[in-house]
Amino acid sequence: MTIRDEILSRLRREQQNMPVTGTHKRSYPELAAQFSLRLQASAGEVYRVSRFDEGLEKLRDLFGELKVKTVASQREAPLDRIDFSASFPNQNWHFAGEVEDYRGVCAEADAGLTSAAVALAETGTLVLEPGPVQSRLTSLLPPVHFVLLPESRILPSIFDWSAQLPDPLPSNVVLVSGPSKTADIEQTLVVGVHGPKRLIVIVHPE
Amino acid sequence: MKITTRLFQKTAQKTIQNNRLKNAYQSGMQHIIEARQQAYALVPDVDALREELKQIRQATIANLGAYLEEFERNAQNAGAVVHWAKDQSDVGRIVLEIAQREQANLIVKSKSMVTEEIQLNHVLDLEGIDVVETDLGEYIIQLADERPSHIIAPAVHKTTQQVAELFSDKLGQEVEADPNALTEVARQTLRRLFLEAKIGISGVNLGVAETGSIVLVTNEGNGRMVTSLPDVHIAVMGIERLAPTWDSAATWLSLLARSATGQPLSIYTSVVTGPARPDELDGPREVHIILLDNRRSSLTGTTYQEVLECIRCGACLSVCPVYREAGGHAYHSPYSGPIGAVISPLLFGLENYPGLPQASTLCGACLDVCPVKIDLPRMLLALRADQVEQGLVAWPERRLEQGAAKMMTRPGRMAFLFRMGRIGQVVMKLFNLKLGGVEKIPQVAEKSFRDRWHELEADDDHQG
Repeated sequence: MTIRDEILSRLRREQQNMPVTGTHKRSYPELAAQFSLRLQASAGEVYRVSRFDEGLEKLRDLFGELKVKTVASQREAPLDRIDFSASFPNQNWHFAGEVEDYRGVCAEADAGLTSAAVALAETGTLVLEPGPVQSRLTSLLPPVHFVLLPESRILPSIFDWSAQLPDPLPSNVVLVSGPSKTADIEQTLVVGVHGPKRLIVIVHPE
Repeated sequence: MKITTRLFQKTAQKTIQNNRLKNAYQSGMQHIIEARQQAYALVPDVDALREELKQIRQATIANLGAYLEEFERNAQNAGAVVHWAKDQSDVGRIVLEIAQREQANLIVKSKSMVTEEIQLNHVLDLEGIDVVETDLGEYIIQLADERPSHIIAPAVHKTTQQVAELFSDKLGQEVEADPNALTEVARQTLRRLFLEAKIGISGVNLGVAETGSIVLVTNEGNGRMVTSLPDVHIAVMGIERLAPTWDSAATWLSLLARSATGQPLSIYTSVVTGPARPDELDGPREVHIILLDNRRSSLTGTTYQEVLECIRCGACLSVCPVYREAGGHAYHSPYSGPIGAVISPLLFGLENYPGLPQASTLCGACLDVCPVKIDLPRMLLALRADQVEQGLVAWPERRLEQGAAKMMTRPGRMAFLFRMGRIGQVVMKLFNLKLGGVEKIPQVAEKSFRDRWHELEADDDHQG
């Protein structure tokens, strides 16, 4: 008997009724407001703008303020609407899938810029998915992670997300609810351990 | 080594007599309790969620064989390699085979209790493989060559000063005693290793049967690094950590971080479904999932089946008056606190942990706080009963308890015992004997409550 069969033979196969799940719907008067509140509570930074172009202006200001020179990014919607050399003449841009050593780029870049597939209001969460133009590393290796988030992508909670997952699931989906942090030394909160030290989200209308 | 009550007390004394260590536990646990209460207060239907999770876990464990097969099938369809392991040696063999094939002698590892349980690092170390823990707390205790003192805060017993001395000593550079500076040093040191390592090892917080996915939660981002940068990702999963569907996983996730650290969700929740797809830009070439039994299957169908419902949030540790005083190391197991007192004897043998079922006041705080409402006090009592049945209790104690049982189960004998007590106290008072350190022995009443009860009943009958 294989190890597998041996273990399985000892386990139970007793049909018991599962409770009805997925009933915990949340509702908020304004999804973007709840999203901002929760993300800010866990050290994320959120700016809400009234036009996409205004979001780009905000981004330009923040790049200047943080002295961002090199940016790793990916050509996904809505970032594919940006004319990068016109809007950001002072930054060097590198795009996932377009450079040989994108890992090296991300490891050295001053910032990463992505969008998010979905966001969750209740917990202030961004849902990131890898894909043909999206890398796992854009949001992971650079010290600052910028996000342009269309407001329409914000769902109430994790229960709405779990009810409409992409099929098939990409190999890696990450729910991000703040910048990287730890409290492992004397319960003192330190922001910026292995992942980004700052998470800056610009929420814009479509 | 046998973990007896005496050894538990001896280790606990070290914590109790060390004011700094005592404060570290008290304030650390208080912090976690308050964060959890605040997080729960923000959820309108938290009790309904807990009840639902309880039912999900119960029904899953009752049909675990079928759900594991579904999980295996879907994980394989997504391209993952699924292995089954009975114990430490099986896991060691599987990991070694992969490491040899990849010619890897450096492995980066994300915090995982199940690998602590089988001391995987030790096994790989003997084979000359350098395994580096990357969770900051685990990294600290690995450098210090110690064991974790809390399920979710493994270095809660260490001070900033101690960590600074440790880093300065082991990393060959002076670091100031400031959590920010220390974290930055760890970030830089470990970043190099993340980029270099060919294999990453992680645990699994939960698997999801309907898609064959594994879910990993971290706050630091090391879980993402370990599952994204190396060519090969090996995940070790206890067979009981399974949710049938994504709806049930959502219920699980909405309680896990809130119960553990008081966060609505951990900073990073990674969902891994097989290796990188052909149309994706990066990610591991291979994903291996090792399903570890380590005596878990033998608990199904017993009075201890309920313990398999645990999601390892650590909430029961923080509220336990014994854990808070004694500290994590007194348990001499990777699993401490009330959950540790139950599963350490079950996973590693009751004969090896005879002191742990007694390391509890049975106050029930662990049951109250548990997001899955696991009745740990009930199982602690069951373990004590097992000890008596298996003859693991010392002879005098066994005789005393058998005697007490004989006396207390017969009203006549009980009444006789009370009369003896009244006479006995005269002797004790006469010779000024002390009972259990009590200076003044309280007077036993002239008449026992039982006798008075009968009289009262008789009076009542008269009047009625």
